[in-house]
Amino acid sequence: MNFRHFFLKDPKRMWPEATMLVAPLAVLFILGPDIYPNQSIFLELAVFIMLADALNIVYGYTGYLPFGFGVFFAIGAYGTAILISHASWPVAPAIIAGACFAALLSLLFTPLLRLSGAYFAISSLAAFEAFYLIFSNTQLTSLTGGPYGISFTQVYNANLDYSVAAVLAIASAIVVLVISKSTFGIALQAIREDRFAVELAGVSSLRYRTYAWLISSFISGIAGGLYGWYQGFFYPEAVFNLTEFSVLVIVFVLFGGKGTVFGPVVGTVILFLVYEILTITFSNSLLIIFGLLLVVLILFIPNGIEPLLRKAADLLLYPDGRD
Amino acid sequence: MVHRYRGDKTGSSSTAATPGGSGAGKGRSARKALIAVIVVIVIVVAGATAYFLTRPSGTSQQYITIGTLYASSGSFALSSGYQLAGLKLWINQTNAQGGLMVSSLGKKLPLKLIALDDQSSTSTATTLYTNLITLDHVNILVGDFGSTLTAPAVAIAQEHHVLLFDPTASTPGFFTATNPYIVDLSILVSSEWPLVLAHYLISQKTNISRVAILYLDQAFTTAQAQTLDSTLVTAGITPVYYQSTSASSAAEYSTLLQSINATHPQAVLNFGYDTNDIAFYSALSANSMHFNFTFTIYSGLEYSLLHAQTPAGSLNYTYTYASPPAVQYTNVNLGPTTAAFVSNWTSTYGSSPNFNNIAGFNAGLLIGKTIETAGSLNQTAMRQAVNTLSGNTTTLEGPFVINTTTGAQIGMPMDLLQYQPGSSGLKPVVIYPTALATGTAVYPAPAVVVSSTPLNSPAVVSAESYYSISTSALPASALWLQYDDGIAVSGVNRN
Repeated sequence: MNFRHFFLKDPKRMWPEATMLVAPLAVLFILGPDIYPNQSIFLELAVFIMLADALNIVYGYTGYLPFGFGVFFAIGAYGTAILISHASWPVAPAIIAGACFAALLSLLFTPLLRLSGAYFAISSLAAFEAFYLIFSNTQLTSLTGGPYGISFTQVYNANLDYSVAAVLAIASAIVVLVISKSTFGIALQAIREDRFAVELAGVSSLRYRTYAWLISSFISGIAGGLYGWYQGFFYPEAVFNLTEFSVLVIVFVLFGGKGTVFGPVVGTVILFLVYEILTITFSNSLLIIFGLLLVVLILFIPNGIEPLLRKAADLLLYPDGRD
Repeated sequence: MVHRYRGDKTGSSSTAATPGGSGAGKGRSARKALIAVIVVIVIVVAGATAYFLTRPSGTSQQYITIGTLYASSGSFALSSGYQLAGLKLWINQTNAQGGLMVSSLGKKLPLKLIALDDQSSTSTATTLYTNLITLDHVNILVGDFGSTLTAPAVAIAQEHHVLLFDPTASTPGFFTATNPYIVDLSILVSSEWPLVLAHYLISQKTNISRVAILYLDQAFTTAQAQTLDSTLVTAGITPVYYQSTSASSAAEYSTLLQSINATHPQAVLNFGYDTNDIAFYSALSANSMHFNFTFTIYSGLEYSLLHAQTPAGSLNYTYTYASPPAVQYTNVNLGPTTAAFVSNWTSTYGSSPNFNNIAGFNAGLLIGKTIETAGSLNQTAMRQAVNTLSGNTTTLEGPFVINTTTGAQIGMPMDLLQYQPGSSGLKPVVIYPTALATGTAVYPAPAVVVSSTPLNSPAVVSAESYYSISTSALPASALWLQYDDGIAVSGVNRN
């Protein structure tokens, strides 16, 4: 297999889009904490961008929706915490190893990829719950902290964590861009459109989905490690949080436009910041307002905002309506 | 996928113009609209930037800002609201007296509360704690109710060198020698709570040998269950049932109770939060089950809520921790006595306070005393001031004693009480430790349903009873409460 061709079909043609991805995100992450001096918001934004990109790879490009997707995030957080607190690993290798644990777990789950539709979604949810119970079990207190939570505040470094998270959030967006332009990405999209046709053409759809699954879980694990590092001390329910690290991420991806490069990033930036603004200013009615907002958005832009952005870009670049 | 805007290198926009003028006209108007939107966004961002970068930051101290979180929804909403109400009362009373004296400024400053709603979400709490520190620049940071919602603040407070005043988070893991920026004000570390219960059961006063322990899979409840289990096992009583649960409904507790009943326990000990205890008693009643000894945590901490939300007679002859307001401290040297507080609260709000109301108020009392002792709002000075209060301060919640290295609370002990129905209502009778007992236990609990009525005749406890051992000289892991049966308990994590 020609890996360069497999992943980088035409590198030169990526530069414009890469610039359009990197520049706004870099500006956002550099100026954001100066404009609104709450670093945790922008760190969480970086984490959610990584999660949205990771989900986009497996859901947007292959069409498989893992409802319990957040399990990889949690494994990454716990892997990092355990290696730091028990084995005194430095942070960087601990986060990478935590992400590797998440990827290994995804390998364990590969039989789930033989399922489809609701069966796949539900089985991944069951896996999420199973691992939550394992990690919060008192029998594993000496390793995971069990229900008492796990602490590794000795390496807490909010500024460094933020810088790394910002860089990796941008990197995850680039990964999605590379995939979208690669033979690999085209294969994934073909699988999404018609898995059986792909199989008939002699391509192993399971193998390609496994690759996507691995990359996605690794990025989620990295995000989890960075989030755990920022928390310093967390309980199982803080990282095994289905609403925030699975459902909310799915909403972000859908809102932005699944299976696109810009959609999940833009969707996450807009919806996450709206969510945070509502949290700070209208906390009492946050869920009502946010829920209504989602209903309206889904009703009027069911395909996400990415197509609208493309249309807007067309209007800017080709004002006379050239198609 | 077609990426039109990337465009071909040869074409120009004009060569592919849509035939007819209407398409071009629509394109132009849409373009203008888009440009207008971009301009508006740029203006808003620039304005916000200018505002945040140029806003005044060095204004003179006009008041003391107290920042805290509360949960208006979610699993901790009830208890969080109770705690906040107690804190608010202290703030109102302090402001009515002109505020707090800050000697370094040479004047009294009024208190200003900034309370943000985390909705019982830890990630929201992370954002809001940071907001309180970096945007609101609060002078005093107070944690939300319980360990779960306080956990996000621990590392953030330490990072920003802000002292976290913790009213009700009791997880031992929060308190380490390397973090001086946290102090537990109003609650004994959770692993210590069940010692009194364990001692009572071990002392064979009831000849109980078959014990069932059911606990919620949260840090606060698991710590208690594990302490109790290990203590009982060490004393030769191996629980016949020991199970964690995430149950929250009466239906789920019904299933669990069937399993418990099959083990024929003499004592059933359920460790949960308020909503769990309500579900537990509802399931007990629905299944017409009765045990000789039934213990829950929140029937003591939030009696009024449990009484109102559980079937009639559910709390009769049940056991719980004896804590204020059921236990009332008379010999206090900071703030009102428990009785005076209860009276004031009842006249102000028209209902009796519960433990978390008192914990919130007690936290306020100690914060005020800390500021006045420190003489400034310097975080390090306040931490040192808290240490000086430890061991010689008694409030309406009992003796304030902390591990001065870690900030963990080892005072404010829990006793054991039983609710005994009488002619004028349920009476909380402290049954253990014996030296403090106001009566004796009725065991086994009569299997008759008597409608319970509001609490009366609180037990009165003199705080001095607890100082049979000097606390200052003890290491962090030592047991300082001396129970009258002389049974020693070791291996309890008190760091």
